[in-house]
Amino acid sequence: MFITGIGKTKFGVSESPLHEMAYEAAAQALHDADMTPKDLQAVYVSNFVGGPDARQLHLNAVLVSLLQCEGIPAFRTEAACAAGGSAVFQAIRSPYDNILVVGAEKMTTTSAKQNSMHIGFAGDRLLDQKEGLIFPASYALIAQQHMMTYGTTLDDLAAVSLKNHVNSQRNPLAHFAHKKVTLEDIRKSPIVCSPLRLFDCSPISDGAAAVVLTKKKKGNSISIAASAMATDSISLVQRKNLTSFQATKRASENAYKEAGVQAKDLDVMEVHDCFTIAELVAMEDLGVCAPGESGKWVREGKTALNGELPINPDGGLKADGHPIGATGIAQLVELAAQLRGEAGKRQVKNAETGLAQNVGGVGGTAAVHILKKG
Amino acid sequence: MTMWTCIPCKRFWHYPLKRCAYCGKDLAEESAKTLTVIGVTEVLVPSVEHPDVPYFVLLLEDEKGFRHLRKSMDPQKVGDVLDVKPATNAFARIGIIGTGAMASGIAMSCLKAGMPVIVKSRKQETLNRFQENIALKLKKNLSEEAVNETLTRLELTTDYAKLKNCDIVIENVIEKLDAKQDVFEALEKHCGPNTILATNTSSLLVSSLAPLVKKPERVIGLHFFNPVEKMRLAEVIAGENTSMETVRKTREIAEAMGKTAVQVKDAPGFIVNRVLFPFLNEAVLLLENETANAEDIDAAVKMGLNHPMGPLALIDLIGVDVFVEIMDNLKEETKEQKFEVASLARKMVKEGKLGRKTRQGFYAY
Repeated sequence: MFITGIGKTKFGVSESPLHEMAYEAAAQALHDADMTPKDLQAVYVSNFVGGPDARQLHLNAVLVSLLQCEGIPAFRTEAACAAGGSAVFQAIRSPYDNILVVGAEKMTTTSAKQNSMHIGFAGDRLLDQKEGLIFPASYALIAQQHMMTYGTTLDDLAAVSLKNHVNSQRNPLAHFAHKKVTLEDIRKSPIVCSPLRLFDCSPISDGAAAVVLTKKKKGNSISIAASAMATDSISLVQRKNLTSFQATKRASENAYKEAGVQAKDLDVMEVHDCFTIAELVAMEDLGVCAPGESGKWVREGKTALNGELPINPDGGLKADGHPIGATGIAQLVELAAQLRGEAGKRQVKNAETGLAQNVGGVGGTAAVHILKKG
Repeated sequence: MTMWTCIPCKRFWHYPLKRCAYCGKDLAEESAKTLTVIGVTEVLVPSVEHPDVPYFVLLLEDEKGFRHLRKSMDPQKVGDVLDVKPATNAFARIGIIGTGAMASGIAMSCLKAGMPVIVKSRKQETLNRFQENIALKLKKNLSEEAVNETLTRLELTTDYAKLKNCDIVIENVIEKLDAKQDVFEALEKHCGPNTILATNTSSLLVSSLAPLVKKPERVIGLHFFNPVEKMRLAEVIAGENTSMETVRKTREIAEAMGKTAVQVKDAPGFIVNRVLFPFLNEAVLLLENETANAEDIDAAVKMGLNHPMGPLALIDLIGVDVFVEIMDNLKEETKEQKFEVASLARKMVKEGKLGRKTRQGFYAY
């Protein structure tokens, strides 16, 4: 399967409603693939909080109506923040040749208190939500365990945040494209859930992203070398170890096998940094470095745009933004742009192989895709 | 902090599931004995279901290595060992005097918290209606089994002697000193020496009831707000002679009912009514002086102060006569001019415009 068309709206605070953003990303991706809606055989829509936040469900029918391609099968996929990766995983395995996968989310019109609750719906209702475990609290506990186990520091977390903010300034579609962030800003930001500060958290964003998948290779096509998905228990209490996500490990093992590559063969990576600690855990689970080494790697600049293995060149969830349903698709849009050599000021040199890791909940679901040039 | 286990399959669940999905056998229940804090985060951002911050989420490990999460309002450190509390107030038996709206709300809150409740009234007929009403309310969101289980914890009586073994008796009869005095005399005669005697009065002083009892240290005020099931507050009023132990136990019971307890000295109006009634009176004065009309006064307060309803609509709900009565009590007890009720309210009472109950108050209903 190939990624033949890509589209993405600006991430951030948007005045457009959910359906307009989804339509815009879809239209861009179709145009990029030199196709029209009439060429499609199926549509997959990735979305998480369309119900509670945007008061719009049944998005598969919304999309075919907008694109005026009624008649073809269409699906909505929800797997918390891994909705995007999961939608692509399913689309690849479908019997269809030409598929549109679009992810969209409208979150900024909802109050902070409501959003905290809605995002929390991805945790276990009884074991997590009832005990006040909002999402930053989950990752705060993970950060604390990582610190106690490996001696990871607040400076390590700040280095992730800073790198991603620096990258986002080269990405005109990023949520924080125009925000200058210093180490001082990060260190002085208020604590959200100890030890995590505001700048350890991804923002609440609106946005949409889309890819057109085709069985036949076309001019601009990027090859999907591997597509894997795995799950883990939903609640933190059901796990023995919080410093690693088994779902990421399982999915990436299968993906590396399928693509015939290892972490050291990768040129660029998009990882699910919903919180800074999540990027560190992802690096270790994906085999980029040994457990406990990730903080040092980031501080030494090895994952910066000009480093050994650039991670999240678009700014990641931290600074590109995290419109939940769109996130997993946007990661693939970024990788495809990088492998095509069209990433502008944030272009990674000689990028030929890239990996995207998309996580749902606190590691309950993980989707890993590996893309190759040509 | 209980686990449900399938011993043959060596599988464990955090949920009260009926059978093992692997072998089909029934699951056994195992409760944790000790819990050690292995992780803790202080949450500083409010969410809809957890609006009061800061709070703490504790990651706990029990003696068998099973992990649990617990929300706590108190800070804890990694390494702390916590008591495994038995179900809160499983043994508290609540006596309720009266069958009105307050009594019904208090009974519902106690029943929902798993407590046994006994309700005393003069007439069997009102008790029967009370029970039917409670059953109807329970049926709205409980299964038939749960409704039946809950109703087994609700006892009804016309006999004070049945209140003998209550941990606390909460009186909800009309706001007349002699009526309340009659109740307290009967409670003194029939209740065990350790039963806390609480009054849900809004305007009388707790100290006016204490002298009727040999052990005044067990007399306390426990003031709920209407509708009790929705309003989170309970004012705990310690009279001059109320003991610390009585205060502590009463707070515990109020909190087990899901209320936030605030403590206040025995003073006219306590906290809420002391603040509310002069505020309501001020709204009536604005209307009386023709500074603004009723709709605009209510709209201004609702939108400018974010109150759920305007002061004049609220007086109509309380009853204009009750409003005047409470203002007069506050004036009598404090001797302060600021509690002088607006003459418009007195005039309305004379004209029989008492609010919703007479279909005419500040508004027509």
